[in-house]
Amino acid sequence: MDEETKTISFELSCPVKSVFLRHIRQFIVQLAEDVSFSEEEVSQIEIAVDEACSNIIEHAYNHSTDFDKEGKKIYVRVEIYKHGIKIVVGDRGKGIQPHHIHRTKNLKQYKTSRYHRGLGTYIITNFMDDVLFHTEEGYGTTVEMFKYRRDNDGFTRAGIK
Amino acid sequence: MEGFSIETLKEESDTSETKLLIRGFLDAHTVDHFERSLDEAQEKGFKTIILDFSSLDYISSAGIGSLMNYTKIMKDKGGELIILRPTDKVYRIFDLLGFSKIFNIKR
Repeated sequence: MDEETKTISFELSCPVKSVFLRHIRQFIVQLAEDVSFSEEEVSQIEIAVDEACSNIIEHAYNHSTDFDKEGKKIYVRVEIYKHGIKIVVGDRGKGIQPHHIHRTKNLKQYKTSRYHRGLGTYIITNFMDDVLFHTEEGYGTTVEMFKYRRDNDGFTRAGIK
Repeated sequence: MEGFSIETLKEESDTSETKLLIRGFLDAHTVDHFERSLDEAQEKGFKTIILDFSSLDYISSAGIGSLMNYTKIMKDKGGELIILRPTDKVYRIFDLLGFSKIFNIKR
């Protein structure tokens, strides 16, 4: 296998219940630590994934309790590359209009707002290096997040641990 | 609740102060439990609520948003919310997001 393109991927799916958030975090943290991200980077990846999953729980299925129905799940896929980690979090829910996504442009806006919405999206976009939201009404929403591995001097690392 | 618990360490009517030890994960699953405890402390009339975060392993935006709300509620009532000895991991999240300068944190 070509070292430049070698990937290892892992997948997890679980019912849309907040009680499972900590299990998803454990799954992500273990992988991020194994790829030798720093403690701070692992924390950033952990909370970004948690926020993406929490958004699904809150919005994707209208607080559905029909957990056994196929498709009403949170899907998490982790792809480990030589130069970083890609995490895709998604649902097969109702999808949302892009303008309905709460986005906090900066923390000043969040801190002065009345309802304190949008911090999760702010965390995702600021703690991960590349983020792509894809949502389509009736087909669900996915968030693709990428975190690059860096040397102490800030450059992308040359190899996997 | 698995992964989360709150224990009252101190209630002093003289100083109108209570201290709560928060253990585990403060996330979207546990935030309601957390808020019920803060509501109870307010209903008892405590002006100062001290949250001992020395055993809190994780906080997400749900917990941070709740802290923002209760910081304001307490301030509006002439009281205060104090975060005591947060773990390095939790403090780092506060710091990275700029909340270490907003919350009353005693390390």
